[in-house]
Amino acid sequence: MKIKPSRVLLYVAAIIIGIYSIAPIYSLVITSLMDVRDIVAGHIYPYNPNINAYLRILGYDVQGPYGFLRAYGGSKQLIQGLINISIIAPIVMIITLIASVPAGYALGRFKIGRLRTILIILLLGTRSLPPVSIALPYFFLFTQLGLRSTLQGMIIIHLTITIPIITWVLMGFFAALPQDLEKAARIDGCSRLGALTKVVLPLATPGIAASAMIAFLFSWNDFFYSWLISQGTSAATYNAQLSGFFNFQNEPAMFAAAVTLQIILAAIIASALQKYIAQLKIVDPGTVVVE
Amino acid sequence: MPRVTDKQLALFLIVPLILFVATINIYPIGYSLWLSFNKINLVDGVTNYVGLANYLKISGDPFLSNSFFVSARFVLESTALIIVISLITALVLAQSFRGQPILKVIVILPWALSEFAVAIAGRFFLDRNYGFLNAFLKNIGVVKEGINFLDATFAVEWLAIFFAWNVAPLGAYFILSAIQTIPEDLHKQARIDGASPIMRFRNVTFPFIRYAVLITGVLACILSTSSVVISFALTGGGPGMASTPVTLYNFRVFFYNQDYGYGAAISWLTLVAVLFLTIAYFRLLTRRR
Repeated sequence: MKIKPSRVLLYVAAIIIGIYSIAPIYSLVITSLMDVRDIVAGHIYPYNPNINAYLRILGYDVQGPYGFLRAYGGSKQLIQGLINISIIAPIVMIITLIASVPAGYALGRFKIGRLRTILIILLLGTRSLPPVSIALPYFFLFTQLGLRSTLQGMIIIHLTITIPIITWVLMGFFAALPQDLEKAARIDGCSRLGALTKVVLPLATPGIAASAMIAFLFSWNDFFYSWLISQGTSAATYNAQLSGFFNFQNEPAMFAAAVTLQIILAAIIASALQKYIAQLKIVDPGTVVVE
Repeated sequence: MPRVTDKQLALFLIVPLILFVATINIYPIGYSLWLSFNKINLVDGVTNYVGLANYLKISGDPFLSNSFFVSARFVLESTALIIVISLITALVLAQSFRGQPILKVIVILPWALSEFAVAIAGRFFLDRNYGFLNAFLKNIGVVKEGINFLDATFAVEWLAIFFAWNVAPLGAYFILSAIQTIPEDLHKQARIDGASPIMRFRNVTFPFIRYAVLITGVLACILSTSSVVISFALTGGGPGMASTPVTLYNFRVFFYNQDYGYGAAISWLTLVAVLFLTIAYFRLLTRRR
């Protein structure tokens, strides 16, 4: 059997892309499984893999191959951060959907002329505001309102990121859904709201599911605003607590383990999301809407 | 019950959003504009109106002009990388081969990481003492001593590489979905006519994906211009100021120097740059294809 050179090229390219995508993640994960001396020795895979680093950041003393290792002193804050973000992210997800599904539907489906253009520009503007430019005003505002060390404050600041993005995605998604079924329902005497709940929403389930995942992911992953608003307080999220590791250079395995813990869930969600993205066929969603 | 018109229903559905979006936009922007014309004395808490003084300070700040060049380099390099990488990835993913479904999952992983996690992964990858890349190069015998990758010469390039690593999957999926709209027959026809792969790409594929590539490019520009976390956590802006973009310098002026008025003035530079890019983006969206 003859193998075509173009086929070989394709496989080579695929393998390179795969290695390129995974290499930094691989280096992070193996470091978290290594002992300090293995890391210094420069091994490219763990010779004696162990989960000591994970146990220590979760607050356990362990007996390592090189002696007794104390638990990480900041483990309480880290676990509190994990609890905080586990409360914040689902709530952010739900509120985002409540606000964005109707708005996305209205922007994607109704012909409301100039108002719509203005809103789309506003949304686009909000989506692309540089975080640094608005950091200080937010910092002052949240301090003055007493929201700086509260979970409510964190939820609000995360909503400022997720609502514009998810509305944008859903707007494109609703606009791309076939209109016929909804029209048929309207002719059969369904009200606009009835058509929305009985016909459009069931059709839109994949888009809404994907949006929920994206909203959760953005909240779960946010570092800048979380750090800005919650760092050093009892409402600090996991990511904000991770910045405490910056001055912790002599324990690379623990830092790597702490970051790996944060990544795992995000990676699982993204792998699930990947199927939906392929289904949705969204180039930037805005392209469907603005014509 | 009175019948509700479409327009009224639409308004009812959108009003909460309008209020929300307007507040979160107008307040910080207005505040930052006011701040940029004032000087706050932190000792006695007195705020003085200083007119354009904060803006005039911009031209005489050598640190700022340095960070301008860093920003320009970072934005250009990461945008170019994002376009190239996402284009190649999309072209490969569009083919059917064994392992393609797995590759699709692997490719999206870098996007799932937060910008912060990307920066930390970058640190672990590049570190001189315990980094993976050095360990790998030593293992295959290319180098004997660990290389300091994040030196003053190449720190910005590494920032761009890791930023592109994070953002490119998004672009790849944009371009991939554009590729999937190409009718199968066109490629077949071109093959029958004896067109080479390069000619087929230029004349068949590219017209269909040109738009998605453009969108990816502008989006990459917007994202990299406003990016701050990657330089903050990967290089810390160093060594010295060698990899401090305007955003990170701005952040330092705010939170370390606590020169709020001047910081607000600088932040308007980024804001205006992003505003222009966003306008370009919007025009791209509204342009008829």
